[in-house]
Amino acid sequence: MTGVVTVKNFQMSFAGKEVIKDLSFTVKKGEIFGLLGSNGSGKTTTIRALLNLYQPSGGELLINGKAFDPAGDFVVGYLPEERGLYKKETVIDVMTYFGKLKGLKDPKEWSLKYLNRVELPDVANMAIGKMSQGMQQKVQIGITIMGNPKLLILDEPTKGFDPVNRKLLMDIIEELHEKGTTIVMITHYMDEVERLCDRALLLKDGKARAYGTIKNIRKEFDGKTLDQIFVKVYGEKADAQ
Amino acid sequence: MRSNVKNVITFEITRNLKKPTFWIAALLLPALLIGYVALAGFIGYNTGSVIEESSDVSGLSLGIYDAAGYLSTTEIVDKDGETRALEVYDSAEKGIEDVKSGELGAFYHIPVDFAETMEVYAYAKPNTTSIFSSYDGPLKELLMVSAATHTDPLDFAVITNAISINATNFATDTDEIVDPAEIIAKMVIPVVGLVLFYILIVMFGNRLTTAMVEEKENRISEIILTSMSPKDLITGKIISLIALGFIQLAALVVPVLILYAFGATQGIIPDGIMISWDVWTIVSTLLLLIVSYFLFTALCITIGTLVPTAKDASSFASVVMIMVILPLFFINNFMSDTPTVLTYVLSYFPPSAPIALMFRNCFGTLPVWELMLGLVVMAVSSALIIKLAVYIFKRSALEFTMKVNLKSLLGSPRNTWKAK
Repeated sequence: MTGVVTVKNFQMSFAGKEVIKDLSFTVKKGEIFGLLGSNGSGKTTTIRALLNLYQPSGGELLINGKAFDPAGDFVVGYLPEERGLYKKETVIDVMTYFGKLKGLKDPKEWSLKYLNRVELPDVANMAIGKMSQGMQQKVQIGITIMGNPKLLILDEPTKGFDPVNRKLLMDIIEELHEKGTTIVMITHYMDEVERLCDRALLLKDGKARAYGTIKNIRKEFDGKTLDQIFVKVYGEKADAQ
Repeated sequence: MRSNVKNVITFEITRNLKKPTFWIAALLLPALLIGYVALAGFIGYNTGSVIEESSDVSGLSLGIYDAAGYLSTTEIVDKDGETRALEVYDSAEKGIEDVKSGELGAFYHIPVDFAETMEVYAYAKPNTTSIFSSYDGPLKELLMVSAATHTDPLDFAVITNAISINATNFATDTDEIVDPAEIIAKMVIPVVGLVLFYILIVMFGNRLTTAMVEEKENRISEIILTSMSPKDLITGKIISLIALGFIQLAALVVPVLILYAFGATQGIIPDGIMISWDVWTIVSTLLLLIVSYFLFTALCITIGTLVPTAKDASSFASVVMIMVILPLFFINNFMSDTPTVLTYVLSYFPPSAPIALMFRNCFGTLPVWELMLGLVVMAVSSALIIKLAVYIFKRSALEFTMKVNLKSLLGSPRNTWKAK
């Protein structure tokens, strides 16, 4: 079965150094998929290659059966690890702009409703740079979920988020999941993975070290928790060194 | 498949038009210009009135002592056309004393050795409004009238530059008679085009080079590039920046045109200002201005794609600026009807082409076929430069801190999105 995300024999090298070695996995429609690994293991590189921001050295990366095209009809919501907004512009102007880019029919109305929902009804005309980090994060989440994405890719979504925004994001993820949105999540928080994800892939040295349902991964590692599995897998590296 | 060019244009134009700084920059120059003209007019008016007032010696008593016996008359014609005689003194000392005591407005002394020294003396007690003036007008008039009686009229006319020269000028390539005033009148619009282009590059150079840096500096590139193609982003930015440039230009030109039209209808435009409103001159100047600015924008945008910060962009921008203004140093080459190799090089090397072609358009040394060729070269170069900008941006969009190097542009695995 072709998944919403299909990665086949993906290889990636930077300046002659192979960072991803023959990686293959699929993300099925409607599931929450966790892409796990330590810093520098190639998670963000895989997502960037999937979104056509990087050219792979080899293999095939498809979204809905095709190479990703931002101008296509398959809407993808992406919250990158490196995130920012037009700081001098007002919240409503920026949200409306991104809404238009994602093909929303009435982006302004959608944005105002969203701001109301996240208890920021009064900031619509405030410059983003003048808002607190927490407020900016809420705007960032709003932009990510605009246009009813069929695939949501979240790269370390709760990084730097305060507990309120972290809960907001988790609620939104669950809500979208219920509506059938496929979600790919890169995270270091194993509790989030155990709570939310249907399946996961653990990357180590550019290879899949574990891949499957959370239940099967745990079974493969003698019933350990994901936290313990993570420590064990990356401990192997430390031991080897 | 949706295009987001229109959305980028709307966003970029709207947000710039909302900024007070945009309008301050747009209106500052016209305001300064109007202020300058008003100030110059005010000073001119006041200076003129002071001189006029002080030269008007009709209310003053005047005296003269001609020790050399040079003068043939001691009568002058004042500004009302009235003839009046100066009081004749028999010594210089008496006249000076009378000026000092205030009995005499001005006193002139032609010494005995006038023929050798060619020096004469004027004495007066100027009031505060006469600081710009000397009271020498009547004395000069007396000397001139007397000189005419001492000299042959023809020699006098030659010496005083009163000979009228009737010049006839022929065109360089035909035997037709040309009027120099007409040639200058034809230069006005191309010169205005050149000046406007210069204003545009000075006012917008920095904004153009930093336009593509904003997304990198604010870490927006990744979200943007997953929402639209880099080609849409760059095309939209270029169109909006060109539109913004011409909006600012309109803010400068429209008031000037209104003032000119007003001046023309009121008959207060000086006779010396002649403009040829020839349609072809207007069309060629406009075409050169638009295509040149398009090329300049493309060049600046490309620089913006190479660097991660606005600071880095500025240093690169100065290199482009030097290449663009290079023709200024070879202005003599563009005046000649016989182009040199350098003229051709500067006219068709894309960065220097705008100013080189505009100069030649000003001097009337740009044939129609060369104008067309120049426009095509600039338009094609712009398109290729934009393609290069898209290529670079695809590879540099995620370089948030480092400049793009040649290796990363040509070899390393970065996005090779085919421009859609």
